[in-house]
Amino acid sequence: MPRLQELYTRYRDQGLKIVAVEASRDTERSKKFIAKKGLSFLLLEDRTEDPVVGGLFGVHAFPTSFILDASGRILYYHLGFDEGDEKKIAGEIRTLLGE
Amino acid sequence: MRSRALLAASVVLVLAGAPACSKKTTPGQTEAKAYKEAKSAYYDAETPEAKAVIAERYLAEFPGGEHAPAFVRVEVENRGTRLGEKQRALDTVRAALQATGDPGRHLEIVLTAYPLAKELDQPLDLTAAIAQVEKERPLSYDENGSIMEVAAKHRQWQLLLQRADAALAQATPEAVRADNPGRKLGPAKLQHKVDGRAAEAMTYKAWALANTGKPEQAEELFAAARKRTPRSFLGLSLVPVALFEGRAALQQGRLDRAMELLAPDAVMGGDSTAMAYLETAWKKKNGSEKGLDDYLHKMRRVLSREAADFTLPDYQGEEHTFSKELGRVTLLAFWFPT
Repeated sequence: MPRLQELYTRYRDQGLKIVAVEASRDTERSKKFIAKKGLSFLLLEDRTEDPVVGGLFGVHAFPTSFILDASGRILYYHLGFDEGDEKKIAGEIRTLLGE
Repeated sequence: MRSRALLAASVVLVLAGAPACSKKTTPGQTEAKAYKEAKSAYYDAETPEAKAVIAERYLAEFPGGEHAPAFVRVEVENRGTRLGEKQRALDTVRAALQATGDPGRHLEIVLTAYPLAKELDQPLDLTAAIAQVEKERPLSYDENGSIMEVAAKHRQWQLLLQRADAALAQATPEAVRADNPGRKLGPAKLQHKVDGRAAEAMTYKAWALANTGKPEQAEELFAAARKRTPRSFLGLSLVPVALFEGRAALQQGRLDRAMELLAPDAVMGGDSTAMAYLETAWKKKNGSEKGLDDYLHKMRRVLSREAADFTLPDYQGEEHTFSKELGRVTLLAFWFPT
Protein backbone atom coordinates (compact mmCIF):
# COMPACT_ATOMS: atom_id res chain seq x y z
CA MET A 1 0.00 0.00 0.00
CA PRO A 2 2.75 2.53 0.77
CA ARG A 3 4.21 1.68 -2.65
CA LEU A 4 0.89 2.54 -4.24
CA GLN A 5 0.96 5.82 -2.36
CA GLU A 6 4.41 6.58 -3.80
CA LEU A 7 3.12 5.95 -7.32
CA TYR A 8 0.10 8.11 -6.66
CA THR A 9 2.11 10.99 -5.21
CA ARG A 10 4.45 10.91 -8.18
CA TYR A 11 1.87 10.76 -10.99
CA ARG A 12 -1.41 12.19 -9.71
CA ASP A 13 -0.75 15.64 -11.14
CA GLN A 14 -0.38 14.08 -14.56
CA GLY A 15 -3.78 12.41 -14.27
CA LEU A 16 -3.20 9.11 -12.49
CA LYS A 17 -5.99 7.84 -10.26
CA ILE A 18 -5.69 4.88 -7.99
CA VAL A 19 -8.65 2.88 -6.75
CA ALA A 20 -7.84 0.14 -4.26
CA VAL A 21 -10.43 -2.47 -3.37
CA GLU A 22 -9.83 -4.31 -0.17
CA ALA A 23 -11.60 -7.52 0.74
CA SER A 24 -11.93 -6.17 4.25
CA ARG A 25 -12.21 -8.21 7.39
CA ASP A 26 -11.61 -5.52 9.96
CA THR A 27 -12.77 -2.00 9.13
CA GLU A 28 -11.34 -0.33 12.23
CA ARG A 29 -7.94 -1.86 11.72
CA SER A 30 -7.91 -0.82 8.06
CA LYS A 31 -8.88 2.74 9.00
CA LYS A 32 -5.95 2.92 11.41
CA PHE A 33 -3.60 1.51 8.77
CA ILE A 34 -4.79 4.07 6.20
CA ALA A 35 -4.26 6.94 8.64
CA LYS A 36 -0.88 5.65 9.81
CA LYS A 37 0.47 5.24 6.28
CA GLY A 38 -1.12 8.47 5.07
CA LEU A 39 -2.86 6.86 2.10
CA SER A 40 -4.64 9.52 0.06
CA PHE A 41 -5.93 7.60 -2.94
CA LEU A 42 -9.44 6.11 -3.05
CA LEU A 43 -9.80 3.01 -0.89
CA LEU A 44 -12.96 0.98 -1.15
CA GLU A 45 -14.15 -1.80 1.05
CA ASP A 46 -15.66 -5.03 -0.24
CA ARG A 47 -17.08 -6.78 2.78
CA THR A 48 -19.12 -9.40 0.97
CA GLU A 49 -18.45 -12.99 1.99
CA ASP A 50 -17.05 -14.05 -1.39
CA PRO A 51 -15.80 -10.66 -2.65
CA VAL A 52 -18.19 -9.79 -5.46
CA VAL A 53 -16.07 -7.20 -7.23
CA GLY A 54 -12.97 -9.38 -7.19
CA GLY A 55 -15.12 -12.07 -8.79
CA LEU A 56 -16.29 -9.62 -11.44
CA PHE A 57 -12.67 -9.05 -12.46
CA GLY A 58 -11.65 -12.67 -12.12
CA VAL A 59 -9.27 -11.87 -9.29
CA HIS A 60 -8.03 -15.12 -7.80
CA ALA A 61 -5.10 -13.87 -5.73
CA PHE A 62 -3.85 -10.72 -4.05
CA PRO A 63 -2.49 -8.28 -4.86
CA THR A 64 -3.77 -8.03 -8.42
CA SER A 65 -3.56 -4.78 -10.39
CA PHE A 66 -5.22 -3.56 -13.55
CA ILE A 67 -4.26 -0.46 -15.47
CA LEU A 68 -7.02 1.28 -17.44
CA ASP A 69 -7.03 4.08 -19.99
CA ALA A 70 -9.29 7.12 -19.82
CA SER A 71 -12.16 5.28 -21.54
CA GLY A 72 -12.13 2.50 -18.96
CA ARG A 73 -10.47 -0.18 -21.06
CA ILE A 74 -8.12 -2.53 -19.24
CA LEU A 75 -4.72 -2.45 -20.90
CA TYR A 76 -2.62 -4.29 -18.36
CA TYR A 77 -2.98 -6.94 -15.72
CA HIS A 78 -0.48 -7.77 -13.05
CA LEU A 79 -0.29 -10.26 -10.21
CA GLY A 80 1.90 -9.47 -7.22
CA PHE A 81 3.64 -6.28 -6.22
CA ASP A 82 7.33 -6.84 -5.54
CA GLU A 83 10.20 -4.43 -6.01
CA GLY A 84 10.65 -5.25 -9.72
CA ASP A 85 6.90 -5.20 -10.34
CA GLU A 86 6.69 -1.67 -9.09
CA LYS A 87 9.05 -0.46 -11.79
CA LYS A 88 7.15 -2.37 -14.44
CA ILE A 89 3.83 -0.91 -13.34
CA ALA A 90 5.31 2.58 -13.11
CA GLY A 91 6.70 2.13 -16.64
CA GLU A 92 3.28 1.17 -17.99
CA ILE A 93 1.71 4.16 -16.27
CA ARG A 94 4.32 6.53 -17.70
CA THR A 95 3.81 5.15 -21.20
CA LEU A 96 0.06 5.65 -20.98
CA LEU A 97 0.32 9.12 -19.44
CA GLY A 98 2.66 10.09 -22.26
CA GLU A 99 0.23 9.11 -25.01
CA MET B 1 -2.50 -23.75 -12.75
CA ARG B 2 0.12 -24.48 -10.19
CA SER B 3 2.88 -22.13 -11.20
CA ARG B 4 0.73 -19.03 -11.09
CA ALA B 5 -1.75 -20.24 -8.52
CA LEU B 6 1.05 -21.30 -6.20
CA LEU B 7 2.90 -18.10 -6.73
CA ALA B 8 -0.31 -16.37 -5.82
CA ALA B 9 -0.76 -18.62 -2.83
CA SER B 10 2.70 -17.76 -1.59
CA VAL B 11 2.04 -14.05 -1.99
CA VAL B 12 -1.02 -14.45 0.19
CA LEU B 13 0.60 -16.91 2.58
CA VAL B 14 3.62 -14.79 3.29
CA LEU B 15 1.89 -11.47 3.35
CA ALA B 16 -1.68 -12.00 4.46
CA GLY B 17 -0.94 -12.34 8.15
CA ALA B 18 -0.87 -8.75 9.25
CA PRO B 19 1.86 -7.88 11.70
CA ALA B 20 0.77 -7.31 15.26
CA CYS B 21 4.19 -6.47 16.59
CA SER B 22 7.65 -7.96 16.35
CA LYS B 23 8.99 -9.29 19.59
CA LYS B 24 12.37 -10.89 19.98
CA THR B 25 12.30 -14.67 19.93
CA THR B 26 13.37 -16.37 23.11
CA PRO B 27 14.68 -19.92 23.35
CA GLY B 28 12.32 -22.63 24.48
CA GLN B 29 9.19 -21.30 22.88
CA THR B 30 7.19 -23.54 20.65
CA GLU B 31 7.76 -23.65 16.96
CA ALA B 32 4.27 -22.35 16.26
CA LYS B 33 4.91 -19.24 18.32
CA ALA B 34 8.32 -18.71 16.75
CA TYR B 35 6.74 -19.04 13.33
CA LYS B 36 4.07 -16.50 14.12
CA GLU B 37 6.65 -14.00 15.31
CA ALA B 38 9.05 -14.65 12.46
CA LYS B 39 6.21 -14.16 9.97
CA SER B 40 5.24 -10.92 11.62
CA ALA B 41 8.86 -9.72 11.65
CA TYR B 42 9.22 -10.77 7.99
CA TYR B 43 6.23 -8.64 7.13
CA ASP B 44 7.86 -5.63 8.77
CA ALA B 45 11.34 -6.27 7.36
CA GLU B 46 12.25 -3.91 4.58
CA THR B 47 15.65 -5.08 3.32
CA PRO B 48 16.77 -8.43 1.86
CA GLU B 49 19.35 -8.62 4.65
CA ALA B 50 16.69 -8.23 7.34
CA LYS B 51 14.48 -10.85 5.65
CA ALA B 52 17.36 -13.31 5.30
CA VAL B 53 18.33 -12.87 8.96
CA ILE B 54 14.77 -13.68 10.07
CA ALA B 55 14.82 -16.86 7.95
CA GLU B 56 18.26 -17.86 9.22
CA ARG B 57 17.23 -17.40 12.85
CA TYR B 58 14.16 -19.55 12.39
CA LEU B 59 16.13 -22.21 10.48
CA ALA B 60 18.89 -22.28 13.10
CA GLU B 61 16.35 -22.96 15.80
CA PHE B 62 13.98 -25.26 13.87
CA PRO B 63 15.97 -26.60 10.91
CA GLY B 64 13.61 -29.53 10.44
CA GLY B 65 10.50 -27.58 11.42
CA GLU B 66 7.13 -27.52 9.77
CA HIS B 67 7.76 -24.11 8.23
CA ALA B 68 11.38 -24.75 7.24
CA PRO B 69 10.45 -24.92 3.51
CA ALA B 70 8.86 -21.46 3.63
CA PHE B 71 11.92 -19.93 5.30
CA VAL B 72 14.26 -21.77 2.93
CA ARG B 73 12.38 -19.94 0.19
CA VAL B 74 12.93 -16.63 1.96
CA GLU B 75 16.62 -17.45 2.45
CA VAL B 76 17.17 -18.46 -1.20
CA GLU B 77 15.35 -15.39 -2.50
CA ASN B 78 17.03 -12.88 -0.24
CA ARG B 79 20.45 -14.21 0.83
CA GLY B 80 20.95 -16.08 -2.45
CA THR B 81 19.32 -14.05 -5.23
CA ARG B 82 19.01 -10.49 -3.96
CA LEU B 83 22.23 -10.30 -1.93
CA GLY B 84 24.14 -12.69 -4.18
CA GLU B 85 25.62 -14.61 -1.25
CA LYS B 86 24.78 -17.89 -2.92
CA GLN B 87 27.13 -20.28 -1.15
CA ARG B 88 26.03 -19.03 2.24
CA ALA B 89 22.38 -19.48 1.25
CA LEU B 90 23.04 -23.01 0.00
CA ASP B 91 24.88 -23.93 3.21
CA THR B 92 21.82 -22.84 5.22
CA VAL B 93 19.63 -24.90 2.90
CA ARG B 94 21.81 -28.00 3.31
CA ALA B 95 21.69 -27.74 7.09
CA ALA B 96 17.89 -27.59 6.92
CA LEU B 97 17.84 -30.60 4.56
CA GLN B 98 19.96 -32.67 6.93
CA ALA B 99 17.69 -31.91 9.85
CA THR B 100 14.46 -32.60 7.96
CA GLY B 101 13.07 -36.05 8.62
CA ASP B 102 9.80 -35.47 6.80
CA PRO B 103 10.13 -36.60 3.14
CA GLY B 104 7.52 -34.12 1.87
CA ARG B 105 9.30 -31.17 3.46
CA HIS B 106 12.62 -32.53 2.24
CA LEU B 107 11.31 -32.61 -1.33
CA GLU B 108 9.92 -29.10 -1.05
CA ILE B 109 13.26 -27.76 0.12
CA VAL B 110 15.14 -29.60 -2.65
CA LEU B 111 12.78 -28.10 -5.25
CA THR B 112 13.10 -24.60 -3.84
CA ALA B 113 16.90 -24.67 -3.74
CA TYR B 114 17.39 -26.77 -6.90
CA PRO B 115 18.25 -23.89 -9.29
CA LEU B 116 20.63 -22.31 -6.77
CA ALA B 117 22.44 -25.61 -6.13
CA LYS B 118 22.70 -26.29 -9.86
CA GLU B 119 24.11 -22.83 -10.45
CA LEU B 120 26.82 -23.47 -7.85
CA ASP B 121 27.51 -26.86 -9.44
CA GLN B 122 26.60 -28.66 -6.21
CA PRO B 123 23.35 -30.27 -7.40
CA LEU B 124 20.72 -31.62 -5.01
CA ASP B 125 19.41 -35.13 -5.60
CA LEU B 126 15.87 -34.58 -6.80
CA THR B 127 15.30 -38.21 -7.87
CA ALA B 128 16.21 -39.47 -4.40
CA ALA B 129 13.96 -36.85 -2.77
CA ILE B 130 11.03 -38.03 -4.94
CA ALA B 131 11.76 -41.70 -4.15
CA GLN B 132 11.76 -40.95 -0.42
CA VAL B 133 8.26 -39.50 -0.59
CA GLU B 134 6.99 -42.33 -2.80
CA LYS B 135 8.11 -44.88 -0.22
CA GLU B 136 5.42 -43.42 2.05
CA ARG B 137 2.71 -42.11 -0.26
CA PRO B 138 2.01 -40.97 -3.85
CA LEU B 139 3.08 -37.41 -4.65
CA SER B 140 0.40 -34.76 -4.37
CA TYR B 141 -0.63 -32.80 -7.44
CA ASP B 142 1.17 -29.69 -6.21
CA GLU B 143 4.35 -31.69 -5.71
CA ASN B 144 4.13 -33.06 -9.24
CA GLY B 145 3.46 -29.53 -10.46
CA SER B 146 6.54 -28.10 -8.76
CA ILE B 147 8.68 -30.94 -10.13
CA MET B 148 7.35 -30.32 -13.65
CA GLU B 149 8.33 -26.69 -13.37
CA VAL B 150 11.87 -27.54 -12.25
CA ALA B 151 12.24 -30.38 -14.80
CA ALA B 152 11.11 -28.09 -17.64
CA LYS B 153 13.54 -25.39 -16.60
CA HIS B 154 16.46 -27.79 -16.37
CA ARG B 155 15.55 -29.76 -19.48
CA GLN B 156 15.06 -33.10 -17.75
CA TRP B 157 12.69 -34.49 -20.34
CA GLN B 158 12.23 -38.03 -19.00
CA LEU B 159 11.42 -36.75 -15.52
CA LEU B 160 9.07 -34.19 -17.06
CA LEU B 161 7.23 -36.82 -19.12
CA GLN B 162 6.89 -39.12 -16.15
CA ARG B 163 5.58 -36.40 -13.81
CA ALA B 164 3.24 -34.99 -16.46
CA ASP B 165 1.62 -38.42 -16.83
CA ALA B 166 1.30 -38.71 -13.05
CA ALA B 167 -0.20 -35.20 -12.87
CA LEU B 168 -2.62 -35.95 -15.69
CA ALA B 169 -3.89 -38.96 -13.77
CA GLN B 170 -4.64 -36.54 -10.89
CA ALA B 171 -6.83 -34.31 -13.05
CA THR B 172 -10.05 -35.83 -11.71
CA PRO B 173 -12.73 -34.52 -9.33
CA GLU B 174 -11.88 -37.33 -6.88
CA ALA B 175 -8.18 -36.40 -6.79
CA VAL B 176 -8.97 -32.68 -6.38
CA ARG B 177 -11.32 -33.46 -3.49
CA ALA B 178 -8.73 -35.73 -1.88
CA ASP B 179 -6.17 -32.89 -2.01
CA ASN B 180 -8.59 -30.39 -0.44
CA PRO B 181 -9.99 -32.21 2.58
CA GLY B 182 -12.66 -30.33 4.48
CA ARG B 183 -13.01 -27.69 1.79
CA LYS B 184 -16.36 -27.14 0.18
CA LEU B 185 -15.94 -27.12 -3.58
CA GLY B 186 -18.99 -26.37 -5.70
CA PRO B 187 -19.30 -28.07 -9.09
CA ALA B 188 -17.94 -25.02 -10.97
CA LYS B 189 -14.89 -24.59 -8.74
CA LEU B 190 -14.20 -28.31 -8.85
CA GLN B 191 -14.36 -28.36 -12.65
CA HIS B 192 -12.13 -25.26 -12.78
CA LYS B 193 -9.47 -27.06 -10.74
CA VAL B 194 -9.76 -30.29 -12.73
CA ASP B 195 -9.42 -28.36 -16.00
CA GLY B 196 -6.47 -26.42 -14.64
CA ARG B 197 -4.65 -29.60 -13.68
CA ALA B 198 -5.37 -31.29 -17.01
CA ALA B 199 -4.29 -28.25 -19.01
CA GLU B 200 -1.10 -27.80 -17.03
CA ALA B 201 -0.10 -31.47 -17.22
CA MET B 202 -0.81 -31.56 -20.97
CA THR B 203 1.20 -28.37 -21.47
CA TYR B 204 4.28 -29.79 -19.77
CA LYS B 205 3.93 -33.15 -21.51
CA ALA B 206 3.65 -31.35 -24.84
CA TRP B 207 6.74 -29.29 -24.04
CA ALA B 208 8.71 -32.47 -23.27
CA LEU B 209 7.47 -34.10 -26.51
CA ALA B 210 8.38 -31.01 -28.53
CA ASN B 211 11.91 -31.30 -27.17
CA THR B 212 12.30 -35.02 -27.74
CA GLY B 213 11.59 -35.13 -31.46
CA LYS B 214 7.81 -35.52 -31.39
CA PRO B 215 6.50 -32.17 -32.67
CA GLU B 216 3.21 -33.52 -34.08
CA GLN B 217 2.17 -35.13 -30.82
CA ALA B 218 3.25 -31.98 -29.01
CA GLU B 219 1.10 -29.79 -31.23
CA GLU B 220 -1.97 -31.93 -30.63
CA LEU B 221 -1.48 -31.83 -26.86
CA PHE B 222 -0.85 -28.08 -26.83
CA ALA B 223 -4.12 -27.58 -28.73
CA ALA B 224 -5.97 -29.77 -26.22
CA ALA B 225 -4.44 -27.84 -23.31
CA ARG B 226 -5.42 -24.52 -24.89
CA LYS B 227 -9.05 -25.69 -25.16
CA ARG B 228 -9.11 -26.96 -21.62
CA THR B 229 -7.34 -24.22 -19.67
CA PRO B 230 -9.30 -21.92 -17.36
CA ARG B 231 -8.86 -18.29 -18.39
CA SER B 232 -8.73 -14.98 -16.59
CA PHE B 233 -11.18 -12.13 -17.05
CA LEU B 234 -8.83 -10.87 -19.77
CA GLY B 235 -8.84 -14.17 -21.62
CA LEU B 236 -5.34 -15.13 -20.55
CA SER B 237 -4.69 -18.77 -19.84
CA LEU B 238 -4.09 -19.51 -16.16
CA VAL B 239 -1.58 -22.22 -17.04
CA PRO B 240 1.52 -21.42 -19.12
CA VAL B 241 0.28 -23.14 -22.30
CA ALA B 242 0.72 -20.07 -24.52
CA LEU B 243 4.25 -19.56 -23.24
CA PHE B 244 5.41 -23.12 -23.94
CA GLU B 245 3.51 -23.51 -27.21
CA GLY B 246 4.94 -20.17 -28.29
CA ARG B 247 8.45 -21.30 -27.40
CA ALA B 248 7.93 -24.55 -29.32
CA ALA B 249 6.79 -22.58 -32.39
CA LEU B 250 9.82 -20.32 -32.02
CA GLN B 251 12.16 -23.33 -31.88
CA GLN B 252 10.59 -24.64 -35.10
CA GLY B 253 10.98 -21.29 -36.82
CA ARG B 254 7.23 -20.62 -37.06
CA LEU B 255 7.70 -17.00 -36.06
CA ASP B 256 4.25 -15.54 -36.79
CA ARG B 257 2.59 -18.30 -34.82
CA ALA B 258 5.07 -17.81 -31.96
CA MET B 259 4.28 -14.09 -31.78
CA GLU B 260 0.54 -14.69 -31.92
CA LEU B 261 0.80 -17.12 -29.00
CA LEU B 262 3.19 -15.07 -26.87
CA ALA B 263 1.68 -11.61 -27.34
CA PRO B 264 -1.29 -11.84 -24.93
CA ASP B 265 0.79 -12.93 -21.91
CA ALA B 266 3.56 -10.51 -22.84
CA VAL B 267 1.49 -7.37 -23.29
CA MET B 268 -1.56 -7.98 -21.11
CA GLY B 269 -0.12 -10.26 -18.47
CA GLY B 270 3.13 -8.40 -17.91
CA ASP B 271 4.89 -11.76 -18.31
CA SER B 272 8.55 -10.87 -18.81
CA THR B 273 9.47 -14.39 -19.98
CA ALA B 274 6.81 -14.29 -22.69
CA MET B 275 7.99 -10.78 -23.62
CA ALA B 276 11.61 -11.93 -23.98
CA TYR B 277 10.63 -14.76 -26.37
CA LEU B 278 8.29 -12.43 -28.24
CA GLU B 279 11.19 -10.03 -28.80
CA THR B 280 13.37 -12.90 -30.01
CA ALA B 281 10.68 -13.96 -32.49
CA TRP B 282 10.24 -10.37 -33.69
CA LYS B 283 13.97 -9.88 -34.25
CA LYS B 284 14.30 -13.18 -36.10
CA LYS B 285 11.48 -12.19 -38.37
CA ASN B 286 12.35 -8.54 -38.93
CA GLY B 287 16.10 -8.49 -38.45
CA SER B 288 15.97 -5.81 -35.75
CA GLU B 289 13.86 -4.40 -32.95
CA LYS B 290 12.46 -1.77 -35.29
CA GLY B 291 8.67 -1.64 -35.24
CA LEU B 292 8.35 -3.82 -32.15
CA ASP B 293 7.01 -1.00 -29.97
CA ASP B 294 4.31 -0.19 -32.51
CA TYR B 295 3.40 -3.85 -32.73
CA LEU B 296 3.12 -4.14 -28.93
CA HIS B 297 1.04 -0.98 -28.82
CA LYS B 298 -1.31 -2.31 -31.46
CA MET B 299 -1.65 -5.67 -29.69
CA ARG B 300 -2.47 -3.92 -26.44
CA ARG B 301 -5.38 -2.13 -28.10
CA VAL B 302 -6.56 -5.30 -29.83
CA LEU B 303 -6.46 -7.34 -26.64
CA SER B 304 -7.81 -4.73 -24.23
CA ARG B 305 -11.18 -5.20 -22.61
CA GLU B 306 -13.73 -2.86 -21.08
CA ALA B 307 -13.74 -3.00 -17.28
CA ALA B 308 -16.84 -4.05 -15.42
CA ASP B 309 -18.46 -1.33 -13.31
CA PHE B 310 -19.21 -1.57 -9.61
CA THR B 311 -20.19 0.51 -6.60
CA LEU B 312 -18.57 0.12 -3.18
CA PRO B 313 -18.26 2.24 -0.02
CA ASP B 314 -15.06 3.93 1.12
CA TYR B 315 -13.97 3.79 4.76
CA GLN B 316 -16.21 6.74 5.65
CA GLY B 317 -19.18 4.83 4.28
CA GLU B 318 -19.61 6.97 1.17
CA GLU B 319 -20.50 5.03 -1.99
CA HIS B 320 -18.34 5.35 -5.11
CA THR B 321 -19.10 4.14 -8.61
CA PHE B 322 -15.93 3.01 -10.33
CA SER B 323 -16.73 4.38 -13.81
CA LYS B 324 -17.04 7.89 -12.30
CA GLU B 325 -13.61 7.68 -10.69
CA LEU B 326 -11.52 7.18 -13.83
CA GLY B 327 -8.50 9.39 -14.48
CA ARG B 328 -6.39 9.73 -17.62
CA VAL B 329 -4.87 6.52 -16.37
CA THR B 330 -6.35 4.47 -13.55
CA LEU B 331 -4.69 1.80 -11.48
CA LEU B 332 -7.26 -0.55 -10.01
CA ALA B 333 -5.70 -2.64 -7.26
CA PHE B 334 -7.20 -5.58 -5.43
CA TRP B 335 -5.47 -5.77 -2.11
CA PHE B 336 -5.34 -8.34 0.65
CA PRO B 337 -6.81 -7.38 4.00
CA THR B 338 -4.32 -5.21 5.86
